[in-house]
Amino acid sequence: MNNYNWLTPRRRRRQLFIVEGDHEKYELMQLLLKCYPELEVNLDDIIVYKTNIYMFYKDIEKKYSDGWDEDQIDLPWIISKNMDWEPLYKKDFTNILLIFDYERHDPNFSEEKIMIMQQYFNDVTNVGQLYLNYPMVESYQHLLQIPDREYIHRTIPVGLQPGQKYKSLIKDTMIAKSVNLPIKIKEILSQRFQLSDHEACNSCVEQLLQINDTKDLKEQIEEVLSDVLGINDLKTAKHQLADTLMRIGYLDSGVTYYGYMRKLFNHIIGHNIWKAHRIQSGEFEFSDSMIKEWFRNLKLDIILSVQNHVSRDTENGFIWILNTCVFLIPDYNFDLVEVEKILEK
Amino acid sequence: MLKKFELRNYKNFEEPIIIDFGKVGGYQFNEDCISNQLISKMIIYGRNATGKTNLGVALRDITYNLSTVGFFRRQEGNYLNADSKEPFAEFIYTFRFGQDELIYKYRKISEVKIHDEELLLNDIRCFYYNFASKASSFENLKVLEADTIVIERFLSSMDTNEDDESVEQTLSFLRWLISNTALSANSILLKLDNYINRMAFVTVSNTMMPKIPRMYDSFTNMLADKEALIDFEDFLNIMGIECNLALELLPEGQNQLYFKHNKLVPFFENASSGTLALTNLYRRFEMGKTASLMYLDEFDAFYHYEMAEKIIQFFKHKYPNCQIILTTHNTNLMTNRLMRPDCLFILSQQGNLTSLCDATARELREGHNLEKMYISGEFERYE
Repeated sequence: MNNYNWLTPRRRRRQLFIVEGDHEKYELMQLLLKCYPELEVNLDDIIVYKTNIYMFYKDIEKKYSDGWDEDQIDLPWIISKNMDWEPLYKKDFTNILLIFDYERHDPNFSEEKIMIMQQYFNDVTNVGQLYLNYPMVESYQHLLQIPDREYIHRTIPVGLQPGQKYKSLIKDTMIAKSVNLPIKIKEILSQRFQLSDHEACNSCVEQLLQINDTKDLKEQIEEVLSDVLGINDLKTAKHQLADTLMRIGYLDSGVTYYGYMRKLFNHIIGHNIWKAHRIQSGEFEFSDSMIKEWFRNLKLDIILSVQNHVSRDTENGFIWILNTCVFLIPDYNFDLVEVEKILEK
Repeated sequence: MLKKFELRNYKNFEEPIIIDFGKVGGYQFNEDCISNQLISKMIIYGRNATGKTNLGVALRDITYNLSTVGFFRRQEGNYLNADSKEPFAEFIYTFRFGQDELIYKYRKISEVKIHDEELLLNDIRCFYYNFASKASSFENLKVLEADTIVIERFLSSMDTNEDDESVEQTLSFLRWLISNTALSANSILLKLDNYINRMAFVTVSNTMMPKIPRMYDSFTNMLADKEALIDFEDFLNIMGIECNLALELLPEGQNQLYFKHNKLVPFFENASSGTLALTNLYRRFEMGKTASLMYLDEFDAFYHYEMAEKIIQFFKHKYPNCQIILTTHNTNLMTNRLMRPDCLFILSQQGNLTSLCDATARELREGHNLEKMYISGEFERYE
């Protein structure tokens, strides 16, 4: 009898997101993907590759010692080799993204190497797209209000080494608070009310985030939690959670948490396009009607060379705050971002 | 020009399938794929057995309705969809001539039997005739400036031939109308007739490519004109086949084509499959220089990828206004260097035709490598 089972179709339409750490994967990316379901990316496709861009550069050099020939470098293959997986090939991937921090202070920092990477990885649908964040990925939280007309001038001194110091600088921004809401709810449920079943806890968090109005808020919360908490806990929990939700402020406008965060990300994207345009061109007049064109004309390698230039002086140098990884949304489809209202509340 | 073609219940296409030449995206590059706001250069991809050839055969169906030569009986089976109970296939052709939009709709029971037909000019129904029930509507023939026609003659011919339906149902009312009316030179019906007569269909892969020179006599004789010979030689050379040609008049008065070497090498007996395929294509163009629409099925089956690219450039350059539909498996042509996302289509196994720009939620840009995206499965849901 014939047996054609060996001829299994290859799995295509795969996604590869290479990120440095857990924050990128479990906070930023998870949230972005929920806010923009149009991207249809599965969280499992995001690979935390615990290395920085300079170590990653070395990994590539090891595999491709003869140089960076056009279209030759196959990132899924490198990753699969290094992770000891079945070999993967870029021809099966529709999206390849690399999200890394600038890391000026790294002992292996090299203007030349980072530039090679930025210029090479320039097509998300083919070789891959590198999004560098200045000084680090958390910079998307660095808007102090919406709109924030000061953002385009915002820099940090090069002496302020990113890591804990930069993180503590932004930990109380309104964006950081909004981003942390799911974590906060989870903490309340698991620590304050000892809800130890992970799955049940996550499911409650998701349901609470779907609430989109203030009417009977406490009753809505009670309904979500009635199966998992005892009567006494329920009474306190609904007050505390109602307060936590109300404090972010989106319930008054009748949207869910993800609806609210999507709007917030649209602002973040808009501010960063404006900022990137400013870094690239030196112009900082804002114009709503220009933002799409600015985005089209952005050259991430020019921005990198400006950043390299302004941060060279170890005493007086600075780094422009800029997050480019949020550009993955307008890179996919600009229409997902409603940019007309960037500078409106 | 043809603006839209819709088809239903024909061969493998049970559900409606549409070729919409009017669905032009806002791309600012390769504008030579567009002509008069309609797509004029289109490439269709698709897995094997999705119906790329059937689609071409279906598109050509209208030429039988308009044929002036009483057309001979062809096969009757395998016309309707094999899974459907509906007894006819439906065809809708929408044309645009200047400011006018003309829609010709008909249903057929088989390749030779028309069930009913209808013509609309700018949304006004000009005529309708049902060959089975004899239901008809001829009130608006004046819109076509064809109201001088004596409809009774058509109707009586329908009645008298009732027993011999096999003959008469093959003749469309539209054909009868055009043949029997004194139409002014700028009549829209003549424009339609003219367009349809200039539709050309070429299947390269299935065409027998005989190596018998006699089969090419008329072509060879055409090359007796020195300029024609040079043009053909230049064409082959541009396409990457380096050669010199010579023509000799044989004693019996027939011309013979040769490759010019130290000795003359007979052309047709010695040309490669690729060269013969290219010659066949050239022959079709030369003879139908004025084609309104060309459907070239698997046009580059025998060609090196560079030659396939050159042919497309040749088409754009030589026939800017001709609506050319190419089918191919050559993904190298799926590129923004030559084409654009709104002119590249995928025919799916379900019988849907989708342009690349409609086959993904991603905004496709000039810099994208469409071929790589296709291979990676970006458009998988529409394959």
